[in-house]
Amino acid sequence: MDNGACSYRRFLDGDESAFDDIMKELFHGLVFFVDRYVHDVHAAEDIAIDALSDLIVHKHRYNFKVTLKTYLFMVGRSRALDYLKHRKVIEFTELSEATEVSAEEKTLEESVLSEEKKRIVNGAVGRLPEEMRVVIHLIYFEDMTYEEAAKVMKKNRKQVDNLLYRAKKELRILLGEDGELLE
Amino acid sequence: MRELEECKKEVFRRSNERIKMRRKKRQRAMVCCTSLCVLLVAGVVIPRLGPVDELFINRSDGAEKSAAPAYAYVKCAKEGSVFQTLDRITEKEAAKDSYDMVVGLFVIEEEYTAKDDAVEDTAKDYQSGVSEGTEDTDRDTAGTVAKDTTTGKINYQMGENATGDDATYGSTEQATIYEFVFQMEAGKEAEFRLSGNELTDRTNDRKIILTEEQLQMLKTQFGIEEEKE
Repeated sequence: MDNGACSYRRFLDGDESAFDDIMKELFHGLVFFVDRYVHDVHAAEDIAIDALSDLIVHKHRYNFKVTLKTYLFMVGRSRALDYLKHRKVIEFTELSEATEVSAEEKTLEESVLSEEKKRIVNGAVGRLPEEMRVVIHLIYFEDMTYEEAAKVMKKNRKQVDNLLYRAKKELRILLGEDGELLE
Repeated sequence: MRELEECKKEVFRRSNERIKMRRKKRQRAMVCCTSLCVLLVAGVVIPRLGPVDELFINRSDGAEKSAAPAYAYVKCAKEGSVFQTLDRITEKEAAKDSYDMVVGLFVIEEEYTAKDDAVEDTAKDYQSGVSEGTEDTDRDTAGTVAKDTTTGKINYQMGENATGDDATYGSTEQATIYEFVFQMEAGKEAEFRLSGNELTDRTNDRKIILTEEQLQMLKTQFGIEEEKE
């Protein structure tokens, strides 16, 4: 599995339908990942769309040295942080709208996390600090290697390893009996 | 949450928009650069072209110029006809020496400013006592000067070589007139005139009477003796 690199190569060769494959394979995962940072599904979707449009605008920026998924997640993370940095207005939403949003988030979660145990873990992950949240997401929900996760988070492998160790420790406390799911 | 198809359309729409924006920015940058270049060429480069050429010419022989004389070209004329020129390239040093020497004579003269009046009087006396029609110029004139003047510093005496002939020369009417023209590369000239033992700086309108020794030195420098022979 090349995580979209092959499809992107086809797209660069002029096959527009290859982009559909990329979208199908990576879009929801990217939105879900960005949502970990921004805590807003719509903003996350917007950022994911921007990250994907980068692939079309800057066609030769991706050099195929990492998987397309890793590259897109790197772009997504950077855009998410940028979004957080420049977000000035704190939006207040009605309670009824908030219910709708959480329902949307649930749909996204369902579409990305098919397995039950992942959904249980996801509930607890939301309560972790940001970096731990992201590392758990990348390793357990996106099935990335430590190296890929390190690339996305702009850390080295050892740092990711330590972060993951501490995140799991925290999660075990949060999950209680369900903590064994992490093993 | 939007549908995947919808999101895909949005991705392409944004991409096109961004591509158009990039093109616009690129064109704007190009226009800016071009106009800036035109302005630079018109405002800076073109006005400097003239001086640059001059600089280039001056720089081309800059090494020589640093050691070069003020006057690089000398023309020596005997009664209007040129008998010697010192080329500006091959004999610059000689030209410089000649100029230095001639100017040096005037400097020496200035050192005796206190006696200037006496010298001028002597010259006047000398001129008034001139007898016409002499051919043998140098020695005779020197003899006359020795006879007529007693100032001692500027005039000279023939001594043993004096013939005792009263025929003198030194007046501008009788003596052979030599002209020394020093020319700068830029065109400025310094012009001297030797008539008998009277040297005139025609540029600064100064006159001095040379001693025998000085006269000889001057003639040797400009090869006048050789010319005579």
